[in-house]
Amino acid sequence: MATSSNSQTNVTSPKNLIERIFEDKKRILAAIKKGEKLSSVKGIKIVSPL
Amino acid sequence: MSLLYNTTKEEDGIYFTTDSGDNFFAYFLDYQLPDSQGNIHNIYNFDFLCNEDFCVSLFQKKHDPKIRHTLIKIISDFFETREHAVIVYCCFNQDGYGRHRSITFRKWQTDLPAHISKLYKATENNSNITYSALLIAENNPLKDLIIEAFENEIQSIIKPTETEEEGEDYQKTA
Repeated sequence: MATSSNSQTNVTSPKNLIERIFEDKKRILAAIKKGEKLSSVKGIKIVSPL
Repeated sequence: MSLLYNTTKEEDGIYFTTDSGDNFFAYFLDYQLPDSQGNIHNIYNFDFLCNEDFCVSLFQKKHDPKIRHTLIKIISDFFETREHAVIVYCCFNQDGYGRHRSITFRKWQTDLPAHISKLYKATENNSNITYSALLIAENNPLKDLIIEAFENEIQSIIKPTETEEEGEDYQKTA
């Protein structure tokens, strides 16, 4: 099994990647339009630039 | 005159305001992608909003090259801090502008460092075409596994469609 610092094992994804991105994008847009921060959206993992 | 806008980094993403007063917000989200050998790879979804929307308005405004340069700089910086990062950018077509966004973003990506490989996919599901781009460093030791996993993800949900937009790095999905 190939490994790298970028990989983990024994984790499963419940949904397709593209579907998850699409669903998250809709929820993000709804939150932003309500004046909420991205961090208020549940179920997403933000990569902080700080 | 700088070719870049000044950016502000906050906990959730990167902000900048253009000369014409448009407010941009760029962010990265972390997803996991399983491959055929049981590994799970971190895949980062890049996206940005303009004036609290996903940038339909970009196509109705005067061309501003500093927006392109700033957003590509944000992606380049991300690769600098994460050498083996894998980024996916998706252009959904819910508003009818998915193809426009994908064409624009493909042009912008020519400004990325030469060692960043690009894989483009156009796929169809229920008459909605999604355009996606996978950005991955040429020297990523797991590049082939990740690309295979990405292609499998796309094949698993969507009926592939042919496009006429084959570039140097384009790979047919059919």
